[in-house]
Amino acid sequence: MMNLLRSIAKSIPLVVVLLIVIELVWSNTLVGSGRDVRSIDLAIAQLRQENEVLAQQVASASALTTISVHAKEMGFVAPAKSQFVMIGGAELPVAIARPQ
Amino acid sequence: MLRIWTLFILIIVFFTAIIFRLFYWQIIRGDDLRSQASAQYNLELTIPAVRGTIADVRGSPLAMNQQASLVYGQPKEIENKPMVAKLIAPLLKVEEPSLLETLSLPDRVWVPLAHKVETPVVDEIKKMNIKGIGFEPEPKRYYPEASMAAQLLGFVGSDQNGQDMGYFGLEGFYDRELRGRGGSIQMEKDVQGSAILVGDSRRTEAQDGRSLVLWTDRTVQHIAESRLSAGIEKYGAKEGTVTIMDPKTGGILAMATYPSYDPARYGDFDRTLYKNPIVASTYEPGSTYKVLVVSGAIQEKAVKADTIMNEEGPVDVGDYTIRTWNNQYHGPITITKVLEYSSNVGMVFIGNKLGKEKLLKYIHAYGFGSPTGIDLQEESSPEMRKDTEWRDIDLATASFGQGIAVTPIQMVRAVGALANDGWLMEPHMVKEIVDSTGKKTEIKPKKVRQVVSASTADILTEMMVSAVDLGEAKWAKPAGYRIAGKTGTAQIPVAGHYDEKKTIASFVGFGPADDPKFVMLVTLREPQSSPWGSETAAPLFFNIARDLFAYYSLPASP
Repeated sequence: MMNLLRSIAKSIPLVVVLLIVIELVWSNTLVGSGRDVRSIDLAIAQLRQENEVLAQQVASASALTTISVHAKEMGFVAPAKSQFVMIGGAELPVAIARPQ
Repeated sequence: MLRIWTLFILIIVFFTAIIFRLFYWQIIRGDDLRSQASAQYNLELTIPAVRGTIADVRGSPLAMNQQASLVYGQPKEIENKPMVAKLIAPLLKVEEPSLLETLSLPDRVWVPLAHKVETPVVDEIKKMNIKGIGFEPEPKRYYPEASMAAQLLGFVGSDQNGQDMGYFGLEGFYDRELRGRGGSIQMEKDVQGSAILVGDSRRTEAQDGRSLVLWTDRTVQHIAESRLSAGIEKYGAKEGTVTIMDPKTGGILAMATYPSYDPARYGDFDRTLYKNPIVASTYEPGSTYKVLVVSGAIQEKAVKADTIMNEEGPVDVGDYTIRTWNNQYHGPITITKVLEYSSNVGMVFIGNKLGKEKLLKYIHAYGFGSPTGIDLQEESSPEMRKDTEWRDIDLATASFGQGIAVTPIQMVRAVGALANDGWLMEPHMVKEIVDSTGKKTEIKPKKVRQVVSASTADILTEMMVSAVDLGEAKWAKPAGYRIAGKTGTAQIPVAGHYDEKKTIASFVGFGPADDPKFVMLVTLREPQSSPWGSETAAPLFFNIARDLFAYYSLPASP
């Protein structure tokens, strides 16, 4: 029993040194991870900015004012008169059909 | 013994001094030192909230965010200040001496040079690689449709603390929803400024602003604005408005105004243009008001559509004489004809039949004298005189829309009730609010009250259809469509009297009459080609209506 206790007591400094080494390695790894996290954050911000720019470009290109300018340049003109194809019979106007 | 006492006192004094010094550093300066220490080992980042967007009913953006930057200077690090000022002043669009003065301020380590500078300019300055000039992201509003719907949207400026704040229109009304709430991250940092993950950290997430989806349709808005612009040019009017509403929901489909401004460059325009005249300016509605008075008279059974009145000449009310607009008189005519001829004399007859109390009852029931509740910041309502202060002449002139002030939104809402079975709706811009997680909150249409019965509304619809088909503006009406409408020409009150040469021409109506898709009001201030609504506002109304029928695929009857 005494021998066991002695051997444990002798191994304590070794365990302490081992734990210190593990702590150092682990902390060092985490510090490195902090840098990685920062670079990932920067990448996210960069992608978000690019998305914003793209959304703005899409909105600008699909704006009615832009489309109407392009349409004019390409020779499109507003129709003088609309043409409709009628399907089915005309219904009685609601204002007339309602009982007074 | 004396030496012992002296030593003792010296020790006491010495320790007292230490205690006072500790008290000073730990208690008095404690917070300050803690914050300084925190700044040395803590990394604090603010997470700005993204302002919500504003989109039309189909999701097309009308106001969104674009990247921009705050350009700042660190004077102590700039070597040749005059040269730097000369290089970047033209790019930042600031005066060179003013910029140089800012950069030369004594004892300043950081000075803002220009806010919300667009990315191409920032990129150009970055290429110069100037030491002591830095950039911070500072998003700004972007309007894909340029100045379209400017007075409806409002603009984003700065508050007293330099933070973004919405002014006027939707940006002003919904500022709190749109702006969101900024967040922050606090972490321990290493010597290079990188975060230490094993250290303490505290994160408060930003809550992005909510986005708005409107009832407004950008195509309808485009139609209204382009037609209004052409109409202003054709008729030589000083100002004009077009308001288009869905009568069944109260949703505003379009609001066009002239003159207007560009919300991206609001500072370059006269401040008087910021307010939307459709909700903030008043006018006398003139003959367009007649349909509302007639609806009250029919509802109260004071008259019927075929009641005969004798339009034999001018009518005297107190010391005043009321004439028809063209001084022509048709003898015995029906109430329907009173609207067709737009007879002021006929309206005095109807007003008398209805009586003071009931006329005032309908003026209030249609919502005049109080704001409509539309979700635009600058809405106002003209004060109306007290019910006890109405004289006979006031009632007579009010029956044909003179001597009473209304806003265009009040007028379009009131006529909208006739297109909606008599139900008065609360006009609304926003249809849906979407939060940053995508959760949608629908804003349901709100019925205010039923002013007249559905059958009265139908009778008025037929009378208004007749006023369009047989009235002064029949030449401009699109063929094959049933449109209910009424022209109006009101003289403008100037210094206590009416100026006969200056008028506000207007036309209000809805279509198709049997199942209305829109109710619309067109107003033109001081048209030069003709003072009459039937020759200016009415053709403009019908031009817009023609485009709307095509847009909504509503075919003409053969």
